[in-house]
Amino acid sequence: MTPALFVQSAVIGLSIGSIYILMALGLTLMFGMMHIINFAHGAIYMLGAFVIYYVFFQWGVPYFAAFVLAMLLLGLFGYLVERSIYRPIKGGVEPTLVALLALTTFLQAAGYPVFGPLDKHVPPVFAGTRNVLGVMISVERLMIIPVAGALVVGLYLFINKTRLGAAMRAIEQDKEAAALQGIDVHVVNGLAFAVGFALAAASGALMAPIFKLDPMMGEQPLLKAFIIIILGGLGSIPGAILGGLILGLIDSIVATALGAEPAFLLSFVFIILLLLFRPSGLFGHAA
Amino acid sequence: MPLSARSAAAVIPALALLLALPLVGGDYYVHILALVFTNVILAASLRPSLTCGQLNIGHSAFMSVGAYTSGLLARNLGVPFEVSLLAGALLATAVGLVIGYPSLRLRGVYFAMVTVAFVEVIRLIAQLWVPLTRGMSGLSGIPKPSILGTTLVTKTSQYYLALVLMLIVLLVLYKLESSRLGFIWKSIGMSDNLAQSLGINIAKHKLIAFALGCFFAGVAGAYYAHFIRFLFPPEFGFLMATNILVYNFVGGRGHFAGPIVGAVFLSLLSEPFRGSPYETIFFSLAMLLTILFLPGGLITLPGKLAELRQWSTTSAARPSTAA
Amino acid sequence: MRAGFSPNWAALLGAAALIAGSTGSGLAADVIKFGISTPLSGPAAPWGIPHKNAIELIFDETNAQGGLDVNGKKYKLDIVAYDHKYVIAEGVATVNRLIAKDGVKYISVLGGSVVKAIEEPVNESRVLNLPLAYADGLVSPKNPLTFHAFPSPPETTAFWKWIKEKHPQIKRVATLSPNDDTGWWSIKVETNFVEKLGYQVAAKEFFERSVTDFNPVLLRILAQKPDIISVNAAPAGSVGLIIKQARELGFKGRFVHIGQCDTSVVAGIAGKANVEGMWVHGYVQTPLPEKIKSWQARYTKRYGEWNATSIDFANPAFAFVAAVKKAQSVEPKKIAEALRTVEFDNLWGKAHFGGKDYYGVGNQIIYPMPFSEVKDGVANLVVQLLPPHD
Repeated sequence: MTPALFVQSAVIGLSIGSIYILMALGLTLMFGMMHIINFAHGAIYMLGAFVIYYVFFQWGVPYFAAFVLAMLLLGLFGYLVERSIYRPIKGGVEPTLVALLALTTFLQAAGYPVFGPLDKHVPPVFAGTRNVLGVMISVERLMIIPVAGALVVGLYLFINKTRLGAAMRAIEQDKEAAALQGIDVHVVNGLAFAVGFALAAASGALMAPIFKLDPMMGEQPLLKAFIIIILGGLGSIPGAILGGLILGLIDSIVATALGAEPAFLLSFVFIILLLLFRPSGLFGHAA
Repeated sequence: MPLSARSAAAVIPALALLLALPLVGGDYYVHILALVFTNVILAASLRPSLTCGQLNIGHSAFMSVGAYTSGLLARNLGVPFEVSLLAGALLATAVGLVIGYPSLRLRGVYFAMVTVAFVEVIRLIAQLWVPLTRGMSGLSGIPKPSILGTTLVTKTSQYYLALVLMLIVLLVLYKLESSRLGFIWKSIGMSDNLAQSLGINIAKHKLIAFALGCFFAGVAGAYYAHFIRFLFPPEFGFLMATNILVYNFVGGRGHFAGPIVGAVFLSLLSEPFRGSPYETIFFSLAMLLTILFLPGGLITLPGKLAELRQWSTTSAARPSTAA
Repeated sequence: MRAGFSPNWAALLGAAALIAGSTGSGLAADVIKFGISTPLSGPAAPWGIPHKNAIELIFDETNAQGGLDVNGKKYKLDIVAYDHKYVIAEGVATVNRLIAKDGVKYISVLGGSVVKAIEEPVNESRVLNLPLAYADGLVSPKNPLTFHAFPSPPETTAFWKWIKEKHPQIKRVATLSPNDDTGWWSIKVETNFVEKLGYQVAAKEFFERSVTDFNPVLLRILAQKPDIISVNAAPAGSVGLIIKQARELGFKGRFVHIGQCDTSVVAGIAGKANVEGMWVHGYVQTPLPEKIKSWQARYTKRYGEWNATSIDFANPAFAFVAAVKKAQSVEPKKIAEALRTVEFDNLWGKAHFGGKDYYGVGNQIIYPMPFSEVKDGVANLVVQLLPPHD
């Protein structure tokens, strides 16, 4: 592998990694607060992309407006899911997991009759390519980095500088103590669902013009996000960010050298080893 | 829990029906039911692990190992079916032990994540090891099953083989669940710390449950390989693993028959819609509705209905004062 | 625990329902049921939808003219179509259903790996198959009832001779295809052929069908500095992404797709400018001969939008109808015998099944194959060539 190839894969890796970070952030937030893994995250990513397809491509609404709309709509959906599925199950971890699996299966299967059988494509929002560190990268892939970065900063500010964010942190530390302090755990959980779903929708919306859209498109990003949150530590936001960057980089470089599927295999093997010997990952709490 | 007279009275006609089925149904329905039997084996063999509190979303990986092992041995080396089936099941168990043993101390979600990662690892290995498995082109040319040298040529004979395998597996699992071992599994599932404090070696018993599950998953996989005679790596992936889990949840976790009911109901439910997206839509809706409204699973349905009837007759006897 | 619960009530009910609902395959005796298993959704749908539609339209037109006359009896043509989404396990399941449940005796299946996987059931049940599929060993004496209805790599490599003649400046060929039966055979045949012609094979890469990020594999290919990238037997969506991403990475050379490819889909994804100069087989938008213009009108009227892929994917229907007429029988074996000798019209001219010298059996369709170049986003017919073997 030549140095130029290495640099090119690295830059591309950082760009894709930013998408996965957004997915991972939502997952890790929901795990930290409610100890559930949201299997439906991939379907939400997919729905975010399809919102862009219809609102931006079919109806001509400007991209950033469509982007925000995708986040709001799916955030609202997240809140509704918390109320109608998570809450009635009264927080049992296993039934919740199965219910979320059912939700994701349903959304993905329903995508075919609703969106039609053909794969869909959204035209590029940012055309052209740039020369970065001596290698060619498309502008649309580069643009992911600042947009994702802005969302991450936004999330950080929300969690650390607002009262709702403080409530979330409180619940994450000790649910009962937080409830005793007068925090309505249900509402804040609903908010966590909303934020998580909105972030997943954002990743899908960012990816929409780059690849193609089909109802199953969220499967792989979900699995990558899994890998990231385990690497970073379940429940840790800095972990998700660092984990995302690491996975994006390594994945891209290994994929260029060996192929995408072998890279995927290696990352899963690595995750299994990590879970067996250091389940807390980079920054997580001890299992 | 001994087999009550009432249960036996229900099992026997059902068995008779299943035995007679090939005489009335065509090849196609025989095919469907043989697959349902395979699903029952898979669902039932996951139950011991679930009883111990281990959320295993990776059961299909062991089916895959059993399927490819048996298929390859028979196809490439001409190994007779009984031997290749056993080899498949044993290798599946060995692989299970390799992953199951170190994972024993992981709890809840962490254990589940390991199983999810493991399913993907097995799928990717099958996909990438092209010289052995032919990867994404799939492995065809697997011979039909045979007993003592006689090939089971017709679908009907293969159906009976599946029926026999299923009955054997269910019998073994039932006996184990009714024995002290099953009791220990339940106690581990309810409160493993408490069980440990009573002197139970929870690691050993969890491992037995897990290994047993892997063995029977391997059996199901080997049968599948010789029945469908075509193997394709993504087929044994995350989706199938979650299906097996769902059979248990939808059927009911509290009763031995739960996974059986779940597997039969959900497998047959999807059949009229097979091939269309509505198959998966109905399947997932059934899952969701059962989790929300029948948390104990379908097995509790007769109980709930009886309760409802009782409730409606008693409230009819008393004039209601509610608005 | 409530007493008296029967653990097998679900099995009872289920089995009873099955038996009650089981329908025999007894239909009116004057119907010929033709089975289709093809991707009607997912990435390969741009192939499958026109495949099904074309056969359906031709059968409907034949029915409108009174149906097929076989030994004095009139037969209506009926199709049973299933979507296999290009998932091989679904392909196997749908074909099994066509044969076992629907009782069809003639099928057309799309997809190399799918057709390979069902080789045995098809041979065992003596069903006639007119597939659209690339796979090693598909057309061979061991599949006597399989007649491939579309030109394969051994036929379409004829276009490389044309490229060599008209564009001698192209020297280094990189080839890229899906990592399964279809791709393995296509690359094997193609690289063999181009090396014999004097080209250098700069790179040979495979990708998984599910991949959408082709950057890793393209980076490897581009490092070898090819003049032309040959994308083999990939669905239009993947081709579009490959071209888009290759251009983003700085590739300035040509693209060629030796299998069928819907370049309108490709142009939609990659952008017209990026697709300029691409060569493709089996897909022509302009100019269309009169006969095909008429087909276009009929197809558009029936299905609401035009799909040029249907032109070549109508072959199975033309062949089947002509063979049944010649054989004057509905027996697959007799129809197969007729297929080996009948000459019939498809939309490009005269067609027949041949290739005995190459394949060992004359079960490959031979006709003047269309080859196009994309100009301003539109596929222009450049030349029609006959395969190197008859």
